[in-house]
Amino acid sequence: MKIVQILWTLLVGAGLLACSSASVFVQTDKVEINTATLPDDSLQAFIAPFKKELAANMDRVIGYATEDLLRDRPESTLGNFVIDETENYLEENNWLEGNHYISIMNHGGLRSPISKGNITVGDIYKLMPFDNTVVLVKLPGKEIVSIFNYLKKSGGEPTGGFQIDGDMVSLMNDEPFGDTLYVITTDYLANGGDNMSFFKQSYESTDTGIFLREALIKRVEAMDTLRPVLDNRIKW
Amino acid sequence: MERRIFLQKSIVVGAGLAISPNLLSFPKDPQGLNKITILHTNDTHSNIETFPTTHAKYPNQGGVARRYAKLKQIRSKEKNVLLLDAGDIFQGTPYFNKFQGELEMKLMAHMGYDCATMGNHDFDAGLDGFLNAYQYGDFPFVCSNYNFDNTIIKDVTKEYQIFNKGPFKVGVFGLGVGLQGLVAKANYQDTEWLKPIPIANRIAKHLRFEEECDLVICLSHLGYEPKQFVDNDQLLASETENIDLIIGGHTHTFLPKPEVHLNKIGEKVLINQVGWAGLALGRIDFYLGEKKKNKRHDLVMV
Repeated sequence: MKIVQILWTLLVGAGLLACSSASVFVQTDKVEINTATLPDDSLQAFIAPFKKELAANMDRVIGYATEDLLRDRPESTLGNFVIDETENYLEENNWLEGNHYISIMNHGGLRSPISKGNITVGDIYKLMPFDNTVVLVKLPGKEIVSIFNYLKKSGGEPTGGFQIDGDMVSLMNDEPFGDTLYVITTDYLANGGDNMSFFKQSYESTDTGIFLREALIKRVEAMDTLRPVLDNRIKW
Repeated sequence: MERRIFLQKSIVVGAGLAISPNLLSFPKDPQGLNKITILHTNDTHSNIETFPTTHAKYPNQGGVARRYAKLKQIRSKEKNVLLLDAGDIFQGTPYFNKFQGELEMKLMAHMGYDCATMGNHDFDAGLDGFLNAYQYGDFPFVCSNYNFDNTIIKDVTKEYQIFNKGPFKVGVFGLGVGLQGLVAKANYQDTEWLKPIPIANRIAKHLRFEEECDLVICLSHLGYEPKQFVDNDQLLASETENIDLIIGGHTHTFLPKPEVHLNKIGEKVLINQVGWAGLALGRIDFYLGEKKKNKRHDLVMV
């Protein structure tokens, strides 16, 4: 109230003096939105059917897991699932253009296991709560050394398209190493997340705009039955 | 020069105040109180529900139904209200993944948003996705530095919008962040991004002097400080003129209150940004009482 009174005094005072420049008085406030304000009923009712449909969607069964898929190092059934099905999704949708891609994601990005039995959309959301997108990166071929060193230090991350056996690194399917290393990863890692500094050396990076989560949901729907894979892709 | 005149006035008024206590008892709702209330959000990111009690950082905060209840309270008291949003309406909760922006647009229309600008995440459903969601939005989008001429959303957004509120004209324009490297090319297609500051100067000048707007507001999704690109709201404030208020977004900055910056010719310009997720509503009341007669004005914080 006091502010308003002072303001009025100022307004009147200013009005008494002719001037070429007007004074515009400004009052500011930050209106916190929290439980101190009761929600508007009409809007709650408007949202309700969307909320219900969303919940139903989260509970929708999209496939079946024959065993638990868990996170582990150096490799894991959960990591291999995410890596392989992301690659399969990209392959199906013609993103890879015949190049041999390797994949690197992060152990920490797998937020929740998938339990044996029915898999719901919600399970994939729990596994991937973040809106990470799939990114395709071109690195100088020699960066495979930095990748190896990184994996050796961390003990292992979800990977694919190459194999580590002790100190030996080879590309899958006997592909030869070339000048360019084609890598599938996430926007988080490509942009410097988890200190994967080799991504700083990239000379081309394409964000596909595809949510990792959405790719996985589509692949589980297509596969129906998910069988865990462990294939010694990293063996120290 | 203008500022010096005002300071002298303040002294006169201050002296008057000391000797005339009856000046303090003005009517509570006087006629001619010409005030405009600007309310704003940014980076709401598909947050529809109040954050759960278990939320690590912002328990029990936000939620559109609570925001709408607040808006109703304010509108019941204020005659001239504008509700604006500085972009990134989409993306962040499963509501977006499921309904592709339809719900966000419907809710903004329901809440009576007057105008918004596009943030980088508003491209996340692609231009066709935006167009599809926007059929449920009944408010204009102002995008002044995106050229959509070679895209399917040509003529869907506006360069600026003028609002007549009470006796006053308010001009609103919008600035967007560079898209290359930030948004998948497939989602913005042949949208051309133009440097924001020259455009801001051209449009603000037009709004102030040609359209004779009493207030010029920029909805900016450039960010409070540099992020991916150099352009930002502080630079925008200091390199332009004829803007009164920059409502920011993109950097999710919680400014404790609107900041006063000086523009290119030393006039005051306000910058505000209210974090993200609809956790707060920014509120700025402009008392435009004597504004009508003058092209220039001085913002006085009270």
